[in-house]
Amino acid sequence: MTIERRQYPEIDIDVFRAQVHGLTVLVVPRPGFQRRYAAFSTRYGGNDLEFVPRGGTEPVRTPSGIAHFLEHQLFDRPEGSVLQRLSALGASPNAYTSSTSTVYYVSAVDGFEQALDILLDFVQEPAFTEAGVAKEQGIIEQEIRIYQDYPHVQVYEDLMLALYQAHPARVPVIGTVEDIRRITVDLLNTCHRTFYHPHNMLLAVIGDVDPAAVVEQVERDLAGRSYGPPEPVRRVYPDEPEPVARPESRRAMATAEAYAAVGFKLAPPVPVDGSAPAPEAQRRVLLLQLALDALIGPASAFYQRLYDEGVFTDAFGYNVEVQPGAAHVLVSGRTNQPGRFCEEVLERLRSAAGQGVDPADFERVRRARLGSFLSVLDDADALNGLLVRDRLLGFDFLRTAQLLRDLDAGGAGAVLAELGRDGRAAVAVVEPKEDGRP
Amino acid sequence: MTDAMGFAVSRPAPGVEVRVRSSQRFHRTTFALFIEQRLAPDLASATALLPRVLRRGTASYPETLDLERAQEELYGASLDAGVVKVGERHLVMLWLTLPAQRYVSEPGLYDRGLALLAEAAARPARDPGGGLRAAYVGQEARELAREIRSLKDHKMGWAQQRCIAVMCAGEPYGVPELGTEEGVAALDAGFLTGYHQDLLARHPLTLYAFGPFDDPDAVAGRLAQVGAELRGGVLVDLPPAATDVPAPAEPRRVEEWEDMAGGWLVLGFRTGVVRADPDYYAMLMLSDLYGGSTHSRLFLKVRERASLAYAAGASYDASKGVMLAVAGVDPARRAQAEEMMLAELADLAAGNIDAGEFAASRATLMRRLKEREDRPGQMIMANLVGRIGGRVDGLEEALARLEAVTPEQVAAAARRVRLDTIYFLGGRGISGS
Repeated sequence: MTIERRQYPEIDIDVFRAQVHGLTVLVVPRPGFQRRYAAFSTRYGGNDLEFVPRGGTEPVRTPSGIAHFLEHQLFDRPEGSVLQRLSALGASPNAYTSSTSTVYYVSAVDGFEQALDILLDFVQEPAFTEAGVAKEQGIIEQEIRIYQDYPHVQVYEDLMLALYQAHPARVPVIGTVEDIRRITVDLLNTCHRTFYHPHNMLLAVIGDVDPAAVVEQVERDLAGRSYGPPEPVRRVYPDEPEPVARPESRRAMATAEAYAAVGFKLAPPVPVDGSAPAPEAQRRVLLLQLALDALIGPASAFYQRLYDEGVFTDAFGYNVEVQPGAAHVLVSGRTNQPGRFCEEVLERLRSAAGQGVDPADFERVRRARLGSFLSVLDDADALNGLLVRDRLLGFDFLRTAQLLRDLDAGGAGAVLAELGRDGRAAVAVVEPKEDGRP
Repeated sequence: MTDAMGFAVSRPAPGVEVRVRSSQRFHRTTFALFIEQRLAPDLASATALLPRVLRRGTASYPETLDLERAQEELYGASLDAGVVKVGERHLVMLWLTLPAQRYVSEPGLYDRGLALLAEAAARPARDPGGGLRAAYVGQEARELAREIRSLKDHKMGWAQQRCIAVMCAGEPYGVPELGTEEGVAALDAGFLTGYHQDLLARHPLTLYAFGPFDDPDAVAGRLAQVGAELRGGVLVDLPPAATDVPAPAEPRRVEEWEDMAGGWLVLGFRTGVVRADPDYYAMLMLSDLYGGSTHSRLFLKVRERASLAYAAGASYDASKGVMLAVAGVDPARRAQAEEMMLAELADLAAGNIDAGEFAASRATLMRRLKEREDRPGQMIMANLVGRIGGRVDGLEEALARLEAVTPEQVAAAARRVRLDTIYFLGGRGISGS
């Protein structure tokens, strides 16, 4: 088994990588840390609604929310919940489903090897039952209802519907109550067979471990399983027109405070078929993040002016969200004037598209980004999340420090130009219901 | 001297403590400063507002924009300010985290960071008359009031806070951590200026540092200097950090209805066991068996087996000796959920604890203690909370004490637990599945 070692001397971190029966295994040794952390991920998320099942020829269309549903159901085993078995070791298991991935992870101090065995096993060996599906439908319907009470979730979902016309980014990962009711054991098995193949998956281990021992353990596990030959996953994504679906969305709900979100659609840096992005794609995304730091971050005059007026609050954030075939800038927060929140952000970013970023501002935010990158390295949860997210997009999160060194304000100005294009922006607003309104 | 958790301790001035720990494995350095106050209805809003104002500007960087830029210059130093409720104490806290000096090749980074922290604590931006900047006080009062209002938008947390307010009405512990909208509205710059002076001069103050220091003694020396400069007068006497109040003979029952889809049931219990109590580790075990993990009774029986709740769990606040059990339930099934939740606790009290679940809870709590060593922020909080609660155990001692807890002791701890309040926050007119 070849284990490739990649060094990041500027941050004292080495990453070991191996291909084990098609599965990519990444190990990040962190000597001296108590916690050992393993995350088993598949490139399968809320977006992957239509695809050609493994071994089949015709595409099938699956109900929204099925990837997340499957994630819940994998924990259910005839012998009881996997959660209990891991918990019995003192290990802490969990999982999450995003638009593009499902990640199962476990954190342990003692008994890590056993926990890793259990993780490898339950993710690869589904045992879906009619009774389990029926029970899960009840649980997830309640989860959906609980989300409906959260204004910050609603404003995000509304923005996605406004930004995208066809791309499944517009569908909430959790799905709808109606779709959840259509999920069956057969459908779950089809999804698992298609997407939970080692070639479509990634195992990351972070902590005080020996990379060779981890790789050997994974090798032992996979040697005993019979997977068919690798077959590229054929996803069917609708063509997404460049303009937004609609420029504005408004909703009134029972909330104490108003929330606003602004989105700018970008040319997707990662192809819709999930193939490798262009070499400069990661650099461009990072540049755009730095440009946003400089233009609307907490150390911008723009942010401070609007904070003073109450238009921005502590609950304010922005990000560049990238998925295969979709990407957007997201700016959102709690506000006293949702209309102004949206107008100011739109105006700020549109005008910056023509003017670029001040070099002194850029230099400052570059330092700050380096500091926050270094901080993430001490937090296995956060590090794993970013490592996996970037890896599944074809990016390398740990290169961030190197990339940051070579970026400049001119580059940021160039990537900002994209925000000036017409018809690419949308806003969403959630406002408190007026008293007495039905 | 070094305390049980490995922090080197010094006391440079009356009521001032400095605690420093070093470990080379980190890429980040954490500094923190805490000022202790009693938790009280007439003070809570001011205690909550003050750190927000301190965070806005300092003597050297009076404009927030400049203060923010100074942090970015220091490689993304992050200066955070807030309040925390520890039992019936209320603490102003300031945190400063920095990347490890060696990864940014910036000598003097820690000194500059510490100077910023000290200045934020003691030399805030002022108006020409010498008071705290009125504009900042006004804006932060507005933002704090909004933060208080928006607590309602996080339904589970809101239901838990409401349960505590009902259960501990009239006790300091019933006072909300962020104060109240009315309390905040009544504050002005004049009052807050004097309040700030008094806190600095007369209240217990602790400075912490935890990071990859080459010379921890030098860091401790710098912190001691900062601490001594902050101190001005005679120390106040604070009341005990927790008062023990018995549960009523008949549990209180409160239901509140809002325009929402789900429902949240919260059971408030008095355990009678605080951190310094000999039964502390048994109570920790009980709360985990009951609702702390995925193998716990509430999760398994209420959420998984009965499909009654999307979320279910329990949390134990040893700083007061209170335990809350919470479940997200369909309003129509709240009575059934309540009955099941109480039955599980009664079952534990009757000693029906199987070896598997007992071992799982012990292993889980041990893992959490070990993992905490990887997190400087958590270690600092644990040390602070332990000091206030009268028990600071090092890792080895804590593990040994958990190891010694028996199922009989856990059942005995469960029999000390009394139901005080049954609180339900429910959605009006929307029925569940």
